[in-house]
Amino acid sequence: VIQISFDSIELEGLKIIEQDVLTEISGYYTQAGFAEFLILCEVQILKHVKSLEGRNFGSPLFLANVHSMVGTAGTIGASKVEVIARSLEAACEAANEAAGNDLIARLIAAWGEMAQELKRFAQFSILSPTPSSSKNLPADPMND
Amino acid sequence: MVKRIISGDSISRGHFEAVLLSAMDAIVTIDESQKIVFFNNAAEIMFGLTAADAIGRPLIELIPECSRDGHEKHVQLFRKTGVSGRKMSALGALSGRRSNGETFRIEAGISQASVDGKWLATVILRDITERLATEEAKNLLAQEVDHRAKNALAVVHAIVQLTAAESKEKYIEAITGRLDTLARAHGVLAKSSWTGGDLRQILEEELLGFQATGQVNLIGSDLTLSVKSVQPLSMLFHELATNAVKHGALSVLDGRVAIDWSVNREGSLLLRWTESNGPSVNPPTRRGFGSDLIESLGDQLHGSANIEWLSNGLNFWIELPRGSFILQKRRDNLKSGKSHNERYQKTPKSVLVVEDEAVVALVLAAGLRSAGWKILGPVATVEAAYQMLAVGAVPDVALLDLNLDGEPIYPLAQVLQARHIPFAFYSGYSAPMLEGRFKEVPLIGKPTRVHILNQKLVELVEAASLIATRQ
Repeated sequence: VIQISFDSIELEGLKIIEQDVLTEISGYYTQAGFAEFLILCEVQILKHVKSLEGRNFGSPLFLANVHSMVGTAGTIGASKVEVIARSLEAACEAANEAAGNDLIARLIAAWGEMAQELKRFAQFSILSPTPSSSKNLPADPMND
Repeated sequence: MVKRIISGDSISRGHFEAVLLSAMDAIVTIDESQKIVFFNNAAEIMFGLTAADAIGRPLIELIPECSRDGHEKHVQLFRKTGVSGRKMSALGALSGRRSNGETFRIEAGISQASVDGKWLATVILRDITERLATEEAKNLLAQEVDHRAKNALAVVHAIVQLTAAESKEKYIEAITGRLDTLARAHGVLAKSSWTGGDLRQILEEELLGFQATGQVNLIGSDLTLSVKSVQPLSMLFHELATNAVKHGALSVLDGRVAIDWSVNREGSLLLRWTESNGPSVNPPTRRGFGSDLIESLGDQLHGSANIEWLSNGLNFWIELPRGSFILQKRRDNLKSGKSHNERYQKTPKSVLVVEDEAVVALVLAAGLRSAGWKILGPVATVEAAYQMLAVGAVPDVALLDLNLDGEPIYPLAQVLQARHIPFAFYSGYSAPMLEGRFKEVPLIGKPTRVHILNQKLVELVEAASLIATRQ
């Protein structure tokens, strides 16, 4: 019998996402539901990055996508990403392509960091239930 | 401390960790003696059993007693086939058994592999109880919608066939009035989620205006008419009111109509329509839709009805058996002094969520649901919202993303406004220009934490409720 321990898994300080916002959201879900939610967030991030990489700067669809990014980022507590997305939205509206290109690069990088943080949060919250998500377990088998 | 215990020695920590992280389904591995050697997180939740307790136990303990016969043999047969994996639906409907004895429906697949010469079979399971319940509810809803649509069309058919008038204009007027009543009855039922209709409300809607002038007086306790009674009685009140306006008490300023109802000792509902101070009344010389309706109503509702054309005004009464109505308790919610949240959490209110951004929609739905709301949607398009309203959804409040994939939400907002359904816009734009007619509609900035949204929605519902009470 092999015993595998994940004692060392700890959530290091998050730089992009506000942990309390995600923790609050995790409380709305079962553990499995929250894991699915985090996967969906990652999928959405990939879509957003793909849209940014398309760099169809002047199109209304691009503007609508950037606007959606404001909501996505802000809702899951990534206020730094939200700020960059808002700046990009303003640059699009002002047709300031030079500033826009710089912001697109920053936003792609920020989404990448955010995805990494989501992965870490997923690992943390699923392997080491927080008080909010552990309430959904029938017992606490992790702490035997 | 986080621990997992497995039998065998060939699974690397990295592999195991990856499986744990990615598996949303329950995964149970058994050895050749059909004893459990691996039990993941999702399996723990599904069966209410820790991995430590599950490992070493026979797989059969996860199956209800009544389904255990032959199960071990099936697994042995599967091993002999040598195929790497297959769905377990060949065994028919599958069920699992939780540690507390509760059984539940599952979907499962089994695969086998040999690891270091040891045979292992892995079963991947999914709890489909909720999915089956949703499918059943969908089927029921589809049947019910079909049934109600057919009924409504049959009534429309009868109205068109039986309405007689002296001119085209009068025909259109009569048909329109009757169809409007039918639509109102449908609206009353939809608002109650097809549980019935408030008698007083139905009368008030039909006699709107006359009550304000003091010509109509309604006396009776609060009661809810059964689903089957709402439409025919609405049509009846329409015919009586139309007759009163054209020929009876409501055709003159001094005329009065008293409508009273009570439950007698036998438990039947007795409802009377008494006209007075009107012009002298003569029985009609020819039969029309109204006379036919009144005559057939007693039979239709398993009660009895009677109409008298007295010289001082028309008198009508109808007796309905118990089962065609329910007496309501006093509606004193607003006077109870309880806080907003207490009132709204005890009676779940529904909120229509229209949001095209998936992550935002999911957080809104999950967050508001956990705050006690019944969620309609979330839907991502105006069209999808229309469809919800068209099948009878009547939300208590709506939360509308101002911009859906570049399109403004205003057409839907207009529909909600016409139906007196309160709503708030939810927008990530810092200072959006709202159309003039929506200037008074609250605008909530996106993102906003769910507890704040919850409070604003509660306030909107309460404000609408107060306005309705005053009216």
